[in-house]
Amino acid sequence: MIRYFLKQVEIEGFRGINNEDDPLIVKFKSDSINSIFAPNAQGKSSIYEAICYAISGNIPKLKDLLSSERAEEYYCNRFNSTGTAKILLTLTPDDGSNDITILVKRDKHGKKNVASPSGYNKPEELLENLNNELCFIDQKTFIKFVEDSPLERGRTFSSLLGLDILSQYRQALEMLSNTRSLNSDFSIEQLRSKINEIRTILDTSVQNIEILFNKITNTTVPIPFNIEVIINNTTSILKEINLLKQCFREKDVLSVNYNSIKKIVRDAENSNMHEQLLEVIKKITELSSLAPQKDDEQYQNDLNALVEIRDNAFKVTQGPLFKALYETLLNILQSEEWTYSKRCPACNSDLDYDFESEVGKQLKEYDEVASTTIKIIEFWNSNVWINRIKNLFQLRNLKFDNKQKAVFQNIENHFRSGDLSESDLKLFFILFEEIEAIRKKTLSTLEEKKGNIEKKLPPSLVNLTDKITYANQIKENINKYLELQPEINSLQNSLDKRLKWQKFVEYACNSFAEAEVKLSTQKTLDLEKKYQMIYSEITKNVDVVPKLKKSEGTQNLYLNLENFYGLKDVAATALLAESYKNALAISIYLSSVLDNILPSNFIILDDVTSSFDAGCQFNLMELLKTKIARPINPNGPQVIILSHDGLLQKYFDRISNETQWFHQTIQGLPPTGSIFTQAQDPCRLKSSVENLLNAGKIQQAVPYIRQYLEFKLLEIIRKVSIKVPLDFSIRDDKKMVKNCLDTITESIELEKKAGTLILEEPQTNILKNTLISSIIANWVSHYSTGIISSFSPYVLLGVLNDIDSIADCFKYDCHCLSNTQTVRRYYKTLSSKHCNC
Amino acid sequence: MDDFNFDPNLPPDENIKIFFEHLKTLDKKMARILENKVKKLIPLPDSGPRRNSIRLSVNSEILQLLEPEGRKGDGIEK
Repeated sequence: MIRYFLKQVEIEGFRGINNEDDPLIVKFKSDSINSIFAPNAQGKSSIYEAICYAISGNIPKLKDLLSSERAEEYYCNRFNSTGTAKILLTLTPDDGSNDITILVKRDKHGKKNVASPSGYNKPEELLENLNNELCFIDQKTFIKFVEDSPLERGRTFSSLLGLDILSQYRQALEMLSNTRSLNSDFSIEQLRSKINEIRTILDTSVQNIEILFNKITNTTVPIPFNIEVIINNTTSILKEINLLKQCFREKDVLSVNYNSIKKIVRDAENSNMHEQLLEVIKKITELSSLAPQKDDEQYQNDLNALVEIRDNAFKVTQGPLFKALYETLLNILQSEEWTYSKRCPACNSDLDYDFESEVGKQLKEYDEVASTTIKIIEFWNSNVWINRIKNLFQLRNLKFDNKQKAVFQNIENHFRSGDLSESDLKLFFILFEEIEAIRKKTLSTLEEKKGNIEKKLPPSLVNLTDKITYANQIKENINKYLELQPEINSLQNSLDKRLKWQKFVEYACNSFAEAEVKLSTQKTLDLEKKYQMIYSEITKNVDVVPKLKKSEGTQNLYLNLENFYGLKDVAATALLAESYKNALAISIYLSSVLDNILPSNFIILDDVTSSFDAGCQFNLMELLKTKIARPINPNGPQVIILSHDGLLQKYFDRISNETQWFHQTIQGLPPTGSIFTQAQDPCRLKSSVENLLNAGKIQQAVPYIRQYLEFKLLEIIRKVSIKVPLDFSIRDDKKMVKNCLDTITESIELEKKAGTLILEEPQTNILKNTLISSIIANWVSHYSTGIISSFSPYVLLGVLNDIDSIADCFKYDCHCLSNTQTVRRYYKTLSSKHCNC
Repeated sequence: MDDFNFDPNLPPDENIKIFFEHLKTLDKKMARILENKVKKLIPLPDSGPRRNSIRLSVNSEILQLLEPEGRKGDGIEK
């Protein structure tokens, strides 16, 4: 995997950085720790946000704003006349290939445009690869991590472990395997219902075929059920009847012309009696096929049970009004406008639990009601018993009174809407009995009528008429069977495929989720030693040992303490001070950085030590320098630290001469004017002052002259190892110009009296008689009293030279450091040199 | 079915790859469809309605792949 260092960022017109036509250029070194200092409101966080926006496409601070606060208007600098923000990143790949530049622009309408001036093929894809939670770490990240719910913390942690993409895949698989969604998206219930509906009709046809086959052939249908055999056997029997032989020549029961058969029979009988008989037999067959079946009682019990389950499930809920309320709340909570997870949108109350989960739980109680209601509706649409009742009710030869019709209509409506009640059912069962009584009575009347007709006809003709009627009816049922069989096969095939998919994605989702939990648990354990070591290095407190605890089978993550001054397994969030909680959070983040190999080989820390005490701050910096960051850890990240902390600035200044540390400051006039960086080298402050004085900006230059003087005096004390009073060494407020000068002059006097002073006579003289007195007289005293307005830039440039001359009094010519030139080198002490030069 | 486990020494992308390879041993066609379509949901949108709409569209594509011949005339094909 190619990993990338951040080499440079150029920013114009973004957030607090105006820099119109003069972009702010910040350089970073891949083999150094990079620190950037700026006082508050100097554009430091704008640098952080610019890199964050370029890579991730958003700024968390703005993303969290309400839509009414119009966050989109605050990305571009409001004072830049173009209204367009430009961020140019320069990335250095670790495989030695050429640097890549990516230009991210955002116009005033919020449109983001990504291009690569260096010609990289897929700049957007590269930015996407670089985007991860370990790149950008600020104070808010820690506070959120500490204060989040165990579930949210667990999710963040999962992302820190590099498991974020796995978590996304798991959620995506959950979406695709969700039973309710699949039922709806794949029309599974609809398909099932359609199959049941057709199967009911098909079953009735088969049943009719069996009865009619028996009546025509006096035998039962051969097993297995084979429609070809049924057609052949029926045709054979009918063909044997002399009168019909001619009609069945090369025809079967399906293709024979029944009108010509009827004509033949009519001619033979010479009356229309047989037609009346045909009609009566047809009605009898119809009514007989709708007789009660042995499963009817079971169906009635099933229906009773369904209504009871639905009613019981409904009692647990708070009714339809609350359902509507919960659905509306869920819509709001899932909308982009609502960004609070622990606030009720109805009353704006802050809650101590995730509100969306709670609303989801309440809505789930309605699921049982919904699913049973669907089953009741399906029961009406596809149950064999119900269908038979419906068919009976539609028969013209059955006579129902208006009350029965009204009851049927009412119950049908309740069935269709799923509102069927227990009292509806009682009425329905009574109606069913009444219908059955009418059916029986009608059937009996028809049988009587049939008997009367048959008495008037010769028995052979009666038998023939029966057979012809049955043949015609078996033909209709066989045709229906042949028409529906392929249809139901096709539907069943389709349903099987969808159900197979459902089972497959459910398995995929479950096995993925289980594997993710196992991996996450293992990684948490692997990380333990690392974050415990980092925490111990930052706090230097061996009596407090943190330990992350993961709930088995869930994503919940708890911040615990394995040891707290002898107490075991206690809650870190309840016991640790703010500074220590943040130390714990940064320990976890840094250990994750060390544990992950990501395309972005850099981390940007924005004011992460704000809540740390001075000790923890320095411990953290030392830890970064000696164990975590490049170059000491060649596999570690390129660290970029942004800070406004005055104490850290002194630390940065002191350490910046070391090759492994690259320090810069931000200066300028944000958000209206320009800001710029000044690389921190021994001449940084001096060149800043010279630039300001050359531009006539005396007021701006004066504080820097004071800072430069302080810097150089402290440098002399440090480099020449001048002994200082105890309070000077431990109290930062004592490290002022006057104290520095006093310490230096007193030390010189002491060495001189001891006869051990190494400084040359001219150096001592010029220092004592000219430079120090000149500095005090011309600068320090005036600066202290605030009378500086009378100084010209030339005088102040002279002060700068005097400051350098003071430092030069503590140096000697060294010839051994370089073969080609003489180097001015600080004495080792006031009584010795580093070499014999 | 066998338990599937991720390899802690592999990056997440590789683990996802071997997960789908594992699924392919169970049903090659379905595993391929799932692998291709689940990618369309990543990165997951934050908003619930947006997620629903993407899921609906992806499920419709899946159904098309499961039943390329389609089911005409019964009024329930998606």
